[in-house]
Amino acid sequence: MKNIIDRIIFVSGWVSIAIIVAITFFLFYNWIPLFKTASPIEFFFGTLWYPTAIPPFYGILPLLDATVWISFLTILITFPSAFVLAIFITHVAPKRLRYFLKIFLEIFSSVPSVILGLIGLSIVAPYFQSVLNMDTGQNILNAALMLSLITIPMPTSMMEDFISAFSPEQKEGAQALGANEFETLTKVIIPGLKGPFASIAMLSLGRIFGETMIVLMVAGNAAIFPTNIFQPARVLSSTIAAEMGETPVDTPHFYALFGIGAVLFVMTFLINIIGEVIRIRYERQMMKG
Amino acid sequence: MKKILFALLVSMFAFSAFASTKIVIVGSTTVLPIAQQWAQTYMQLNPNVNVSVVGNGSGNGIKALLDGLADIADSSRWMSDTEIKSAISKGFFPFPIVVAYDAIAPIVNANNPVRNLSLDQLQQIYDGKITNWSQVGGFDMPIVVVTRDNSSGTFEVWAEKVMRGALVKPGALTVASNAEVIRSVAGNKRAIGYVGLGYLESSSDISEVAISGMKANIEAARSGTYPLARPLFMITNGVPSGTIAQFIDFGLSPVGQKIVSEVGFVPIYEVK
Repeated sequence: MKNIIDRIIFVSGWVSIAIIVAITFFLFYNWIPLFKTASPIEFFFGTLWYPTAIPPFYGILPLLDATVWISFLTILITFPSAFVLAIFITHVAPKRLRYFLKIFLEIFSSVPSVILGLIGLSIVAPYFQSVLNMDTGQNILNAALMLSLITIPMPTSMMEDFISAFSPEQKEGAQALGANEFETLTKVIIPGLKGPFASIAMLSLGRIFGETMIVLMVAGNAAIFPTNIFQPARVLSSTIAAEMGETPVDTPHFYALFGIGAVLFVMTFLINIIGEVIRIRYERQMMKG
Repeated sequence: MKKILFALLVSMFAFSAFASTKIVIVGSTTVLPIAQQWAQTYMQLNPNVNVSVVGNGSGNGIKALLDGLADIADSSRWMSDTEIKSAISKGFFPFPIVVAYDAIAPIVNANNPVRNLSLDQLQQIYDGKITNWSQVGGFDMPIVVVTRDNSSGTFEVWAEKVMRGALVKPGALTVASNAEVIRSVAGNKRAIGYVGLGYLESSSDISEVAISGMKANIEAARSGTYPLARPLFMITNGVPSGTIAQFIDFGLSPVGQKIVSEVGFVPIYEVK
């Protein structure tokens, strides 16, 4: 029996690796034919995305630019909020509230993103337009706000784990030296958690990058180079989602969408690897210490 | 273990043997409501036939047809040159049948007094030459342009009939469905968008804009006098025969065409 289970685990492990390799291969395989019609320079540095115009333009630079804008604004909102929440849960909230908050966070992280998209579209966007008098409420700020709401639970619970599991020897050592709880937190725990926090930031970024539905619904999807956060923007992932269904197969447009997929895949992959490397390096340090 | 596998294999083959009375329809999400209602009614009349309908885009539908995975491809657009070439090289003879008409109408927020625009004005609003409603007789406020994703059939009609070679300005808000256009325009008094005729009644916060005095209506769409109308297709491989032909005949019959108007499209002939 054990033998069979071992085998099943072995096979499924290799199958999942094989599938990832196959996906990578598939993305690149469907991307390469694009270069018969558009050079890599036109693809990466072209400033116009008009894949169905005559003549077509396949430049993804505005999409890349928008992805960076939205991701960084989101991480700018997410990271401090998650940090404050984690501190609140570990150090401020009474025990019963802490338990309730943790459950609430877990439930919140499983809210389908399409629902947040709907809220952004039908509540936040009209509010931006009527109360703040913006031309359109479907913009970078709205997308980043909605994305933050769905992202915050993940870094919060990771930070909370790290803070509460922080080396008790060092904590007690600090307290023995006369530090109060606030000083222990700011002088000992937070500096000691730089490594994991950096890796949490990278992992959240990976999550934000791939999120499609919210951005597709609330970011406005205008393929421009935004100059402020009240303008609409179109990111890589939502371009694929919006256009793939109706695109004729084996056309340059189709290949270009696969190219976007490949770029997105490589970027997410790199971000996750950097996050993991930071985490592993930190853990090794902890082992030594 | 081996016995289970064997049984599984046998049952798979057994199921595929039943597929002879199955019609697989794949394609355009615009045509989807028509195909779905046809399939439902048709299956009630012919319980031995199983019609499955999938809406995943005209491109995917035509691909499925050419891969032999679908019997009928729904399409909201004419086949592209690449698709026709690929069909011929595979030995297919795509046979498009017009099953209904779809008319597109420009819309604005109900609080916007503009109710009439010419095709040229629409083109200039969409390519960014006209940027303020006061330039076309409205309030002094910027125009927020809402367009559809550039691979949707609706956009294709708009590009062909309104843009006529000009590019929609990059700053236009782009949304992925008729319902989202409605939502964007209904919630923004500066917005202009365009939707299928069947969606005009779905919100009281939007108003139709006539094109040089002509409103989208059934007769004009069918006769071709309304400038923003298009035919919707079902494409088969070769002249349909057998069950597929019966299904298409049903769709083109008065019963099928009545369904077309019920789901918000223009039937190909007058039905009571």
